[in-house]
Amino acid sequence: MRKYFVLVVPAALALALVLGQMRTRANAPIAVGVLHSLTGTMAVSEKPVVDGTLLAIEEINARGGINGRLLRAVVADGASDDATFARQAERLIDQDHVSVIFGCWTSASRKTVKPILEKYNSLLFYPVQYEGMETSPNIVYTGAAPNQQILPAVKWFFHNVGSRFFLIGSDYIFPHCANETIKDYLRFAGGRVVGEMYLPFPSHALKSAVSAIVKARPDVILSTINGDTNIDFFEALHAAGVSPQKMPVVSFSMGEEELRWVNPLDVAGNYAAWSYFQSLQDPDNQRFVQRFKARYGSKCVTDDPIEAGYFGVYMWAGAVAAARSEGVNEVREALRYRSYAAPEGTVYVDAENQHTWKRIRIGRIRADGQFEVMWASEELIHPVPFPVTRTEAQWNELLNSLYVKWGGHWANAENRARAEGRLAR
Amino acid sequence: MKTWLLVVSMVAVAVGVAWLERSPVPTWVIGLGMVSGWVVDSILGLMLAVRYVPYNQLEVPHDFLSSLCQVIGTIYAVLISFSIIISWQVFTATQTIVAQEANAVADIDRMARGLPVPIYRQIHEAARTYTHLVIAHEWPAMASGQESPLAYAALVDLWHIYSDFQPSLRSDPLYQQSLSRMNDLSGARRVRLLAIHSRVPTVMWILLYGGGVIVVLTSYLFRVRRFWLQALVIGLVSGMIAFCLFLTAAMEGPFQGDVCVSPDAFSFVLDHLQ
Repeated sequence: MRKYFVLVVPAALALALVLGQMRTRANAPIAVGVLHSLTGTMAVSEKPVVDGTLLAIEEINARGGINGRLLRAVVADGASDDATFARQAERLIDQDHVSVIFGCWTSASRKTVKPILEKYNSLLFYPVQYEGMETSPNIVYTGAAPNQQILPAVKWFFHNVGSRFFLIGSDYIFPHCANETIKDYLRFAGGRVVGEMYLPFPSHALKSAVSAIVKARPDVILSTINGDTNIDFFEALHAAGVSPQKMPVVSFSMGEEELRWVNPLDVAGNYAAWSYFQSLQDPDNQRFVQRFKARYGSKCVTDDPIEAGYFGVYMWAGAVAAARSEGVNEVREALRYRSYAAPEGTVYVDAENQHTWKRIRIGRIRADGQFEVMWASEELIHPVPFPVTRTEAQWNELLNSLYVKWGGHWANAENRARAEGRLAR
Repeated sequence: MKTWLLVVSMVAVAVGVAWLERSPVPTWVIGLGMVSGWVVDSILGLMLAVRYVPYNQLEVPHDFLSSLCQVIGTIYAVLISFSIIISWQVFTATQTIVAQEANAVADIDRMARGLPVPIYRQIHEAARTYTHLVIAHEWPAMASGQESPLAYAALVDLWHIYSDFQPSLRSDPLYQQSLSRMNDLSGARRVRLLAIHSRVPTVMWILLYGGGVIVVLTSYLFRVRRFWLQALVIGLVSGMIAFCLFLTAAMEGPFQGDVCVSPDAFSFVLDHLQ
């Protein structure tokens, strides 16, 4: 009897230990990465996206998590530097073992992180509109593709305002590619590009750039300027007496959050094209804005990337719940045509390219720093990452040529260094 | 067998068949269940009739009963054949409209090849997206009685390409032809979506089921010396009625169940659009 007892007791203990481990594992929180610039030139835009992402995580945890497991957010700072983004992404995946990363803003940072995601077969939810020309099984694009933001907006201004356009942007991959797309369209439609200029990233001396714009006398200024350069740009325009009635600026990277940093009276009357504006009257949006303000303060605002960061978490959580697994392959499968009633309206994940079906809206800046929606697309727009004016191979060739020209970077590092005064010559 | 047991068995079989019709089992299982359920119930009913119908005291002439049953049978036969034919016609008409819609997509893409390359690329991409979404998103949605907002958005996208045509290109005969085919496409799509909700009216179903039960019940008014022979005949009749009812039900929603219109026409077009 004692012999059996000696055998049975350790076996039972071992079994209890294994079951206990399994139970602990089953209830352990799911680690999720949040990777944005908390410092540097992009922090002004990216910090609020972190807030939107964390709000969604908190709401999901308050409802009991996903399939009984809470979410544990691991926040990392990309510091507005592509190399730092890459390092932090690798750390999140390799050391913190996150199941998914919600992050990146600039295309340069996303493109630097992409090979790491593909190496580890991890998943990134990217919340910002971008230039397209990319698909990856490891990225879910919750921002707009060019045919969902840039092209419809240019088309609208071409038909409603004028045919002479001035293109100005930050000197990195997104503005260059976006402007190529715009030029292709205008060439076909019969419009004219009267000037094209790229500003160092960041850039604060914009007098000469504004002089060039004034001299070219465009009907519309299309701006793909990113980060806090927008503040200086609008100040310089205002100082030069450029009014939105004569030369409206259409911004593709400036939302409510960036408007907080400029005098709204200086920019009122200009435009932006996004899928989401805080001023949308939909009850779902009103509730979202209320929750956001209740959490982060009444002076805070919501904008398109914040909202995309927010619904991206819900989209992922829904897929994890449906797949009953946070494994990348299972989640990817569950994301096919998954829909979510986001504050901007119901959005869907495209099964073929993992971009999001969404609407576009054109908003005019009001004196209170909010937008008045002037036009919205009739229906959801199918995301087409590679604009159809050129073949996929031609777009890839353009990307490669810029990458080579910039010495293996996705931004013009020389221009940036010159702006920061680091180049002696 | 005791009377209460017979009645309980009949009710149990009827409830089982009704449950089976609403359960997510393969269509052939439902068909088999319906036919066998009706056969079993009709034989159980015959057993009750043999026990309780006072055949000797029936004062109705046999010829009169026979004529009455013939009239009821004929009316029911007309009714059920009419239902089957209508369901079949809706089914084949839907098949045709699906083929017409797919053909319109193929024609639009083919004609776009004669237009400037940037426009052709837009049309090709939009046509491919629409076709893909109809197969991958709308067909499963139609099975649950819904349409796909994505497929509709893709169609709107396609329309926008034509409405954005430069005035100089609008005189191109290909443009005119393409617009005509776009209208065909939109029209066919509307008809297809209307067919999702094509249903046999509830009153008609009551008539079909009630009529079937009456036909079986009237057959109990006749007495055949050998029970097995009468059971065989009544079983065959009720089995046939059940099969007709099953056929009508199976074809009722052209996009639901195993007997449904397939998206093969779209798949064929998509293969050529890739």
